[in-house]
Amino acid sequence: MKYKVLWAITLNTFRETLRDKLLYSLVGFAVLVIAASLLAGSVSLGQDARVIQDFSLTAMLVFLLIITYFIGTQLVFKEVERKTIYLVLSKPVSRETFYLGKFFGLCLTILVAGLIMAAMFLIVLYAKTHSVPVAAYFAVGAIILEAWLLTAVSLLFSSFTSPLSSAIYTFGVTLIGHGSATVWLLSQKASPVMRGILEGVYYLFPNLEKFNLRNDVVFNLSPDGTQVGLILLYFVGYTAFLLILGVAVFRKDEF
Amino acid sequence: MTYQRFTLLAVFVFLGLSFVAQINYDSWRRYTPPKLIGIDYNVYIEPQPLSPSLAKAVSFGSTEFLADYYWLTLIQYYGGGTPNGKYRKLAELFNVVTDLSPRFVQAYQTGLIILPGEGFPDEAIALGEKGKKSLPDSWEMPYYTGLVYHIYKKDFVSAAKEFQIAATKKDAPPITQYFAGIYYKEADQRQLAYQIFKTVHETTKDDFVRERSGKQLLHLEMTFFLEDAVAKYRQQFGRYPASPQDLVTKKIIKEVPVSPLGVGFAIDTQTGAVSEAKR
Amino acid sequence: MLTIRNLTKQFYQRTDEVTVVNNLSLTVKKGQVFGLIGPNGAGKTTTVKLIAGLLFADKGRITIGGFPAGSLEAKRKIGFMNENPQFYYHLKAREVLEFVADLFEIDKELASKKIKALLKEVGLQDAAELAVRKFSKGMHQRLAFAVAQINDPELLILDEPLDGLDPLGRLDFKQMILKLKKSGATIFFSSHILSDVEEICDEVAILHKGRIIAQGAPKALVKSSKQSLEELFVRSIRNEI
Repeated sequence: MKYKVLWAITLNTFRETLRDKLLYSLVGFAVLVIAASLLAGSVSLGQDARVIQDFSLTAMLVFLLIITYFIGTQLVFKEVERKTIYLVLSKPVSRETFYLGKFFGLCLTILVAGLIMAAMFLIVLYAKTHSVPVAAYFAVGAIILEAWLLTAVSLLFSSFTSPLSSAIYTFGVTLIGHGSATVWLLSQKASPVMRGILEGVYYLFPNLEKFNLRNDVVFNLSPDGTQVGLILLYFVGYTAFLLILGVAVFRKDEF
Repeated sequence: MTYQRFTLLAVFVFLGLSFVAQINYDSWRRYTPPKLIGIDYNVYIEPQPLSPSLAKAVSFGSTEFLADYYWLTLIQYYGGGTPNGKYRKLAELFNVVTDLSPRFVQAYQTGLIILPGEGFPDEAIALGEKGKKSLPDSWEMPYYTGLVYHIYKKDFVSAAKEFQIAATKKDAPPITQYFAGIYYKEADQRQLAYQIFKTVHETTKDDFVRERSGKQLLHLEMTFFLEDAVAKYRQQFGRYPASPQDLVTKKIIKEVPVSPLGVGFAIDTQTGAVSEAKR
Repeated sequence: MLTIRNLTKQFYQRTDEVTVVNNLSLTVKKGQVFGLIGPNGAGKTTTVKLIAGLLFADKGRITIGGFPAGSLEAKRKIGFMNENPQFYYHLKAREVLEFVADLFEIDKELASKKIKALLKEVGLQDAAELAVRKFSKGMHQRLAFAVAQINDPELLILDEPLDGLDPLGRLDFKQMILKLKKSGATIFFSSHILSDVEEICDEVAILHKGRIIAQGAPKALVKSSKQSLEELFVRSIRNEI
């Protein structure tokens, strides 16, 4: 793989998504919601820190996921519809490089958007409480990792279906991913055949609860080294699996 | 009038109309007696929380966030006042908040204080039990639960047990164990109360608690002394004395002991039980 | 330079199988300007896309400079201009060329010089800093032509390069192609404007329903059939030969 070419496509995708009006409105709205958590905190009977942390981190997650659903699912589709894909794939660029370039480009966009939201959150929190729990940084990092993983999911779906279907499927995966504990509990009570199926679902679908460090921020519970290591390993492993699958599908696409 | 001005005017007129309608509607729903609007309670201002399991399922893992949402709903609900009866959803709201955020200390504390006063003591106790499970190191959970038993259920034995549990927790105020003794005493569990006061007196580092428990010990010793004297009187005269002074008159004891708590003693002429005289 | 042997491509429309390119064979020599002409739906664009590696052949093979079409080596040798070229809206003309130069891993300094020269050559030197979304159709075509030459390709592939241009634009474009021809470039282009093909090409092939029904130097074809190229084209299509 030619890393210079990969970087060129990554940067181009990043610049392209950065000029998307939808992105600006989503980030702007997220920043507003985070600022509004100050107001909610003021009527919470002294639970300001808690409300700011929970509202802001949830807003971050929701808006980054919306970016993933709406921009991620259109990444390849737009290229084909606008025929800009001819500009790239007629050059010495492998399909893997193109696909990964789109992925990394959107990841960069999500990182920037996430950092802007995180900065707003930390400013608001510090202004109110004059302290920022270390757990908050881990939670922000985990949210960004989750959004990146779901970007890989949306890109996979978008390589063989329409943007709307892709968004719906990615949303479905998000729901299942966050309900993984329920799936596991159901499997333990099920018949052997059903148990096998449910356990399969549990392992096959991304377990997004691994990236859920938001609930511990209020209690300033930071993950230990082992937990962080396992989260990163899971992220790398599962995302690589999705990207490999996506590339395999994309290689067969004709334009 | 130009088209733009007409459009602007029309926008404001119809928006204003909708505001007026909304305000009047809210007022009608809020203050109309329930019978007139065909339901048994004014559900318009009554929140309808999701069940905890459903709330968790739709929370995308943000259970603390949803707990905060219901916490704010609860504050608005309770703070808003209800014109038509009890706060029916109060216990349910506390329940969903603490199910979503089992470690939300203030929610438990607030619930344990508010719920009994609004007519939900059993729900408060259930909340306290949940709090004890979720926050096993907290002294507040059994402490507050004990208060509910005392104030609203008059169940002094249960209150005493709760305070005993609270006293074993780290950071529990030194007086907690002392209160356990008080409750056992109130429940006429004097021997148990005596042991508790003795332990507190011997182990506490708090001067105030040592002094108070010492006085309680002395008071109980006097009570036991009088109980023995009453038994002797009965044996000799076939009946119970009318008062402690009787014991002195009949030369069972030399003098009526003076309690360091500043209370007198009374004797039940039917059962011979020794108790504190009503002030 | 370009060799196509027994090329076949089928598409599936619902349950029907449509053969768009049917056992096509041709050769383009180095320094030659080859024109592929045919009516709408003949399979010109499909053939061009197969050469550029955007589609995969069902049967047959295409080689460019000895490398299979679609391989990275083959793509390094070609410059491709598709029909109705489009670019990323957020880029300026210069940025488009810089992006493409990065895809070829051309050194930044060298790329900068090339870009300047190319923009001048296609007449866009004053529009270098203009956003592509503000470009006219003609400007799109010119920029695409510049893009196709950024890597000094051994084979230029142009799909309907003169389509939709006004007469002045077409004249400019033809002159640019003729200039390249004089410099010895190998060009393969598809069109349905016969006068342009007759003017520019060393060899033409008439494509109909995916098959070549006539091929040769334009002058030779005209001489042997004693018709103009247009008449020959129409009669070939109507199956009168």
